[in-house]
Amino acid sequence: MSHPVTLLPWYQNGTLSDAERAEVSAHLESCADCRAELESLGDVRKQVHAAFESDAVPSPAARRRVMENIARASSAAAEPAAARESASARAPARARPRDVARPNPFGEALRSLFAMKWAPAAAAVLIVLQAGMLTWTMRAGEPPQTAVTPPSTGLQPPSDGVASRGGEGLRIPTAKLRVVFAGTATESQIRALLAEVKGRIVDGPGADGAYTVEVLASDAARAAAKAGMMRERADLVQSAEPLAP
Amino acid sequence: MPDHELLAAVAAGDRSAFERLYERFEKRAFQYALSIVRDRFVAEEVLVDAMTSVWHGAARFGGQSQVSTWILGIARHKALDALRRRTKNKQDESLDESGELVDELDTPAQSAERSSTANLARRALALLSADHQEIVRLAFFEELPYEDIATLLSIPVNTVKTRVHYAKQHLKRHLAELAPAETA
Repeated sequence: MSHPVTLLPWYQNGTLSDAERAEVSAHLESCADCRAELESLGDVRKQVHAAFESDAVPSPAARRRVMENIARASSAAAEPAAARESASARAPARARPRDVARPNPFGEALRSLFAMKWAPAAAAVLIVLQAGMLTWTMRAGEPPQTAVTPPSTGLQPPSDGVASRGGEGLRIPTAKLRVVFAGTATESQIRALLAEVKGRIVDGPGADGAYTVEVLASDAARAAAKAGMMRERADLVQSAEPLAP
Repeated sequence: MPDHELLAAVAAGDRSAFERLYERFEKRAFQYALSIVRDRFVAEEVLVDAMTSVWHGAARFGGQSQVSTWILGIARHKALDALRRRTKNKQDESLDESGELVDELDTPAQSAERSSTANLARRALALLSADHQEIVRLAFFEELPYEDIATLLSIPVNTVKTRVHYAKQHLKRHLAELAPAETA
């Protein structure tokens, strides 16, 4: 074995595999230079510990905020179930006589507006009207089309090659990619890359540092191509893979 | 209780296990974040964000690395994210700032309180490049296996080994150069 100087830090901290450890041990028995190097590494390690152990510590407020965050998350998760369980128990309380005994006509009028019992019917009428207007606009201005691209809503910026007219495909064809950006990538570089692939970040970073990027892609092949485009920018992207739909 | 058992309990929703895990990693994650963002306030934000992510993501820990590597990895990603936002907000930030930031971490009052060994080592470490400072922390302070460091930094294993080797050489040289001045 040649001098295993690059393994010595991990020989010292005890994280080498058994095989590597055995090899280094055998070498150390016969090599005074490596034994000296190991000893000097011990000094370096002590000094590094002395330096870092005296670093600043977080304030107690950080702990409080973390614990509040997880308490909120826990209660939010438990809330729907608790709400269902107690719904029947709360209902009679709301109808207690003292509530009924003090009617407020103005409040009732406001509540009726927010209750919006008429909303589903109004929404249906609006949808029919919009569909009618779209159909009318298309037929009046253009010859019939079979492949109409979706409206320019949703992705930023969606304007290249994606028509802004409605038609058969009102759904925007998108795909999601799992992307890990390089640590050295700046926000402006990431923004430029996202603009290039017509994508936007919709989630992340996750615990593994990955972001979910939504891109315009009508099928799996185009999603894979967009992921490939991102991977080509190895200076900005560590990995980019399509996510299962 | 070993870290991985504690994390499994956290994944099952055990808040007292999370509190213990937090105690174990609070300082390490904060200091690692601080070494990247160089701002106590931002590092504390990163710590809060990272440890909240640990709570939410505990069930996704696959056991491919040590728990410490996983948690430090989350802190690193959050810190780099914070750094990107900060860089965007300070477009005209100059490279000279790194010197100022070292000062921010090491006020005269704090330096006076520290032992000369710690002070000397801190000054020597501050002379290393950011990459070397980071890898020295991971190898000699966090004592992570080289495979875990490679995963955490997304660099090949051989790069980890050589980078640690050169970082250590530079550190030894800086320690030797600073030592006479320190004792004079």
